[in-house]
Amino acid sequence: MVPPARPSDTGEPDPDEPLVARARRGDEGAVRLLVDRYQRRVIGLAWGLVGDHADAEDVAQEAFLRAFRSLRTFRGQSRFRTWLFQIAINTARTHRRTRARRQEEAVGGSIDLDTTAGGGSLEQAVIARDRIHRALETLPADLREAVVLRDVNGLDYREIAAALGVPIGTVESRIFRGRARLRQALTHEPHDQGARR
Amino acid sequence: MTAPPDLHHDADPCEALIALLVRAGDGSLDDAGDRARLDRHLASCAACREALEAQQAAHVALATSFDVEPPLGFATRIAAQVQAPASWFDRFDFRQWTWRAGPVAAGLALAAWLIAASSETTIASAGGDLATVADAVVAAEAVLWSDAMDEADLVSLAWDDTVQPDTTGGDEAGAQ
Ligand SMILES: [Zn+2]
Repeated sequence: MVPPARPSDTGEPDPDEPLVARARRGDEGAVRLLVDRYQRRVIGLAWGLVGDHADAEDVAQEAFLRAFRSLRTFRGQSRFRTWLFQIAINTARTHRRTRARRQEEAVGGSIDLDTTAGGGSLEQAVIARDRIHRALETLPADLREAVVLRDVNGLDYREIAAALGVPIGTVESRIFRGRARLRQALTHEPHDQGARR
Repeated sequence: MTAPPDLHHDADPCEALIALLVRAGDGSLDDAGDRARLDRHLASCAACREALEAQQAAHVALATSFDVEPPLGFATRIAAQVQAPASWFDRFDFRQWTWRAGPVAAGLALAAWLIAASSETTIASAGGDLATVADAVVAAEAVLWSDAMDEADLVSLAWDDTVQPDTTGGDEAGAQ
């Protein structure tokens, strides 16, 4: 009865459905199992989107609470996890806006990717990871969300389209451009992206 | 990504390969025909070879940079909080909904606000009425998270933080 306003999911039965049904009836154990199932991915998604690990846990927690407290409105038009990720994306967007307001002067400034590497390999690994996180922060939000959903969260292209509410071609284009810009930021290549965008 | 000019005329053949390049970049280009088509193009297009290399590098960088170890007891804590009725104060943290979020939600939120305002004196002593108010707010929130919403709603449903009711409202500069 609801028009297919968004790209549909796979159309296969949702493997989470039995647990979701139990959670909807107030089964605390089912909630715990669902959180267990998705906590890594939701925290990872939040981390990629907000750029800070501690904040990511807060965002993830808030997203889970919102999802389960409004579970009765979930009607299975998409997979449960797609719906959950949508909520996480929106929670992260809110978090970023709130943070941007708080740190007006910091946001928009250039982010220094030049970190002198040194010390042992562990330290270098940490520095490398930090550079990647900060490079990700330089991407426009739409590109960042697309690459994080694909490369951090591992959603397939169709599911990303459903979660973001955009056509799959848009997802492909955003991921292509997002990765290209990320690579550019990481390698300091001054090349522009050419006509390809 | 500077391409040899003679390979890229007006109709960009590379543009049509983006769907294949992104999948090749993350190892999900499964279709043998697609793979062959891409390989044929790559053999003669330095720009796309470079683009593919960038896709792969960025994919690996991201895929290996966000290893998450959920905090101990995370799931148990959330399950307990879901069951516990949220304090009415929590529920009143209703995120400054934008009017675009939908007339129903806005109406419910307004109603909840009016009830809360009118029963302000009873707040300290009794929580009974507030449960109703809080339910209205939660119901409004539930509408916002409905999976039946179309994509326009999904965009606007991102809570509008440009308005801060609790603060002095001095800077309305707007996010971003
Ligand atoms: Zn090409």
